[in-house]
Amino acid sequence: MSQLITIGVADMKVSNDPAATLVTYSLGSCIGVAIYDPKVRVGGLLHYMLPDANLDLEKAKKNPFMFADTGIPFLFREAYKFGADKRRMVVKVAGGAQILDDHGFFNIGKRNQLILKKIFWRNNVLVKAEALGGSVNRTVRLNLSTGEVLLKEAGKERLL
Amino acid sequence: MNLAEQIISSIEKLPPFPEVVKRLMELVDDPTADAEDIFAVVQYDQALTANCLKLCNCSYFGLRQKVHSLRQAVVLLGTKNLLKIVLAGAGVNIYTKAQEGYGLQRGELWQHSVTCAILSQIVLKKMGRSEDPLLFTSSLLHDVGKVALSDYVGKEFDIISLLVQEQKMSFVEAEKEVLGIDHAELGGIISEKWQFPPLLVKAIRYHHPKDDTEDGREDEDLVPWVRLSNLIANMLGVGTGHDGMACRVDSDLLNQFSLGRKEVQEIMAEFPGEMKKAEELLKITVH
Repeated sequence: MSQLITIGVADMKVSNDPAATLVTYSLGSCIGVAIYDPKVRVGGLLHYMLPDANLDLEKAKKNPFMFADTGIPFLFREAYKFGADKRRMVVKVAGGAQILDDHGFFNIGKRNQLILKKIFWRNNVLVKAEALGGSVNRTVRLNLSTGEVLLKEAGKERLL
Repeated sequence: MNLAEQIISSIEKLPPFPEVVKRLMELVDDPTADAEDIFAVVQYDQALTANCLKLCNCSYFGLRQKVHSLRQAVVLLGTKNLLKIVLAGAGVNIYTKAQEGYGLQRGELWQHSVTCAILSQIVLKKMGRSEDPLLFTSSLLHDVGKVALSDYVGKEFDIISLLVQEQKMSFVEAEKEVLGIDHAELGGIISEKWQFPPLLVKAIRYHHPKDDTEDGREDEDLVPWVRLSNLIANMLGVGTGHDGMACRVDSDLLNQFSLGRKEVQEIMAEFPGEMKKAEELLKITVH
């Protein structure tokens, strides 16, 4: 049985242990970014909460994984340390859901999606698969042996 | 007997809420109560004492030295914190099973409840208010109705889910439509049966927007506080089930707090640090 490494809220892990599976539960408005280099079998999973570190730079310094604009670059850099190459990287994303809010005060899910697309566009990163938005909770598992991403969405599991 | 009546009669099967907690609830309401009064109530319940000692030593409550006895804890923590601890230590017993109808495994509803309780105290702090054990408790217990409604939700899940997806109903609105009663209303009935203080009953009954919510006295009404904490807890998704994100925001909720988008994000940003301090709350055992 593979070893399960849990990534909490505002957390990130990178590993090259093929026996491990990275998992993050409880993606509501937060977004899970899974990256995997199939050649060196290095994978990483980030669970960020909020779009922009300017909200609280001190917090961002202490925990860069809280925000998209500090967490995403950190995730990639960490994977490079393990020998991953950006050109081979398979990127899959999930989360960014919304509660039913007509006034948009709680539209953090949408903001989390927008910044993700902006960062990836600027850095020429292509997203291979995504499960974003809606009003559902999601769980993401990244198998480091195969690179498969298993998505659980509203109680149903499928490969992303 | 229609379905809603059957559901209400099914709460007779729920275990009674411990007498010791009822006594504690009265103490929360009593401004003259002091730590000795709490000690007097708790000391004879060994399992509860054990849970309380574990919680006293979690960094969330800010003690620098390790506590070995409840009497020592009483002195060091003060009444408000001690009440939070004993009510959490007792509250965990409500959530002993999985709520499969909601897609919740055992322990997940407790995780959501603790998340909500911690957020409620972050919101209080943001608003410049002092800690409030009754709000903490209301946030911990707001979803008690799910314990009794879960099986019924499970049986009708497909149709509830369809109403949520196709007709854009909130999950709680769909529960009401299909079952004739929702988990908030049922939680209100359960908490009345358990003789919780009226403010707590009201906070549980109206923790989702409802047309018939009576306005409370602004200074003591817990309803908007529990609603806001619950919404943010749902957004964070910790321990939330199928219904999690399908919850509606009442239009003037944030106006009541004079909060905007930025402040909502600031509240969320406080959460991971506070939750880390409170990890023991997730580990306490059911007795």
